[in-house]
Amino acid sequence: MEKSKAEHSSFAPPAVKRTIYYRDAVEAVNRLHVSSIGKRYVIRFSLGQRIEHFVLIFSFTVLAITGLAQSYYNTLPGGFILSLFGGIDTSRQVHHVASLFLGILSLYHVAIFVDGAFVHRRFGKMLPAWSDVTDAIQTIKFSLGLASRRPHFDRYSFEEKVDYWALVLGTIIMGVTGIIQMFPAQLTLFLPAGWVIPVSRTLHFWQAILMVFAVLIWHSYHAVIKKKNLSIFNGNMTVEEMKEEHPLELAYLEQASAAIENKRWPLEIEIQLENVKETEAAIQIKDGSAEEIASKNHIEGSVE
Amino acid sequence: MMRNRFFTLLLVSFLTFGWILFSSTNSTFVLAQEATPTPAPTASPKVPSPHQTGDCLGCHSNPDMIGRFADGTTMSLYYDPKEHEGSDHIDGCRSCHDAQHDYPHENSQAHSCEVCHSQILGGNSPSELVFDITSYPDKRAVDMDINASCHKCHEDKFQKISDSEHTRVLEQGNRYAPICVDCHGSHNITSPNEPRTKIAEMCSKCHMSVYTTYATSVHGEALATESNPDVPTCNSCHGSHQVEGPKHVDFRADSVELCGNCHADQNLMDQYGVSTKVFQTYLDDFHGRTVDALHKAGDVKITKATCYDCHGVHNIQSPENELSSVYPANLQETCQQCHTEVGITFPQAWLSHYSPTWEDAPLLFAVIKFYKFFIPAVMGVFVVYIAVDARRRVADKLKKYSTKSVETSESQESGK
Repeated sequence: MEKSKAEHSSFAPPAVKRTIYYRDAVEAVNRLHVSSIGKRYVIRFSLGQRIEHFVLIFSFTVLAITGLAQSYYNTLPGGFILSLFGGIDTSRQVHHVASLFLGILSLYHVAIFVDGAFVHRRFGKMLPAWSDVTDAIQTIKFSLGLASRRPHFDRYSFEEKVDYWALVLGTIIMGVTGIIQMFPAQLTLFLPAGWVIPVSRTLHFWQAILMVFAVLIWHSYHAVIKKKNLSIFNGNMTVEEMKEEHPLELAYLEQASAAIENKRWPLEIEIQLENVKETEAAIQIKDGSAEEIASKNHIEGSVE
Repeated sequence: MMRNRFFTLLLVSFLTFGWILFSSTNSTFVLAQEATPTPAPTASPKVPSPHQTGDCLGCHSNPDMIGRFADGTTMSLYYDPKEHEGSDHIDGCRSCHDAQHDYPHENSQAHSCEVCHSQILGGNSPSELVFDITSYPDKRAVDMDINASCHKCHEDKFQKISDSEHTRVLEQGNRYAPICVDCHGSHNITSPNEPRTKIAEMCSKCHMSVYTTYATSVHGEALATESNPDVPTCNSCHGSHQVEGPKHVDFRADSVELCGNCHADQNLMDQYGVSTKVFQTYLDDFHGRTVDALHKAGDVKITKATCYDCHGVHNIQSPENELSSVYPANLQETCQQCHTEVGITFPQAWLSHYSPTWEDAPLLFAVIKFYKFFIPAVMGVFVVYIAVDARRRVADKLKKYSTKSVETSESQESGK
């Protein structure tokens, strides 16, 4: 086993250094949760975030259905859905009410972000980073058998970030163009004449198509089809799941929680991915093709 | 031989008899006399008329002949054969004048000899031959009675007209609501749309104010000046027989399609340089989509603007005409019919009925082009990425299973 570890370390990423404060250690302790039957979980989403997601599901679905039905009123399903809601006028009203939900949700989300960023001074986990690009490249390489392992994702994988930012940017576009369409008479008193309304209408329609497709294809694949991920509903993820999905975060949590007894803060920790590597190596042993380039000797040694 | 001669004789006698028969009849205007004169409906003991061989025109060709109703109003009983020239109806009088076909009219109580024959009887020739009509209260009653005889041939039109706004008015007690003869005429019935201006003029007899408005509109003017065969005249929109009240909900609901029938017709509109995009762009925008969806759902209450709410009804003008309600300077006022407090920028914030081009609306054009490229591109990247990812995951899973099963079978074997 000595040989295999040494072999593998050459493919491991450089150790990630991170400066943590006492509150980070406390948070890590709180997030590492052991159930009554001794199963280890990581608390991934707070109750507030889970409720946000529920409201989002509700409003997004209603908006998509009533909105597309209005656009495609001429088709059989479109007409049927409109009739379910009691005609195009009531469908439009339902659309407006659902948009109110999404609007309030968005404002709440912004408020939480502002609170986190400016009061608690803690943000950036969801911000796009250069590592996302390298992660994406490595994931594709791994899928094609050109890399030995999947990237070690932190709190949010680049897939989740794509999902999130597509939704956020899309919602901003939808919100602005929707409000313009909701109050055209009042807003044209201020807005430049000539193109505002038709551009809003067009943007609203195409952006809706884009978002619905993104949710149906990207989000459904990564959250449901690929591996049923219920953490946004129950808030938890088992440690085993974390090792596969977010190994870097798990390692960080474990080390940060271990540092709780420390007396001097801030503390610089070096995140070690030893545990993760072992589980991953165990999986990779079974996959010959991907390892041909990477570690032929290591596989043979392990099998022996 | 005998037989042949007999047949020849028979034929000759037939021809002779026929010649006598036909030459004896008055061939100029055979109206009352038909080949088989129908017997009088009731075999009432009546003085045999000295005019038995006479026809309707025997009396009614006299221009002085006047009928007088109980209320003192009169109507001419003169029939001018010239009126009938070119008419589509060349049947006899009796085919329409059903109730008056007996001779002399039994309903007419004043057909004493003196009225006509005062000279013979020693009196002076009357300048007017006035007959008291007692069977009808006034001329309108005569019209309405005779009108019923149109039914005999034109049953289909009766079916249609029975569902019309005109009949509804009639049933409400307005006797002057139009009946067949009011529009089609009585003796001078010709094709109702030749010339085409005749239609609007006919309607103008009652709907004068609408007619004057229509006559100055882009449609009416073209009809009047160039007798344009394409512009709508009254019945193009309102129907001919099944005239539906314009306040009827269905009329409003169907109106968009009505305008679209012509204005979405490429061949027709090309002749006049009018855009056919108006119909589709209307349907694509808020008003049109709502109206169409409501209409398709069978909802009769069309609350959003239809074509004529903005363009006007009888006073439709070209949008370039400053009298038009959709002339740029008048648009604010037109929008304010519904959107009470909008400013001048409100109507300017739309592209009217034009689909965007790079010159007219570069931003809108760019947005559409961008999304038409961006959506397939993004979705393509997504799908390819997912396909690659899923292939690897499925392959991993299958390998895991196979190695597991191999391991378990090996361990089972070794256990044995």
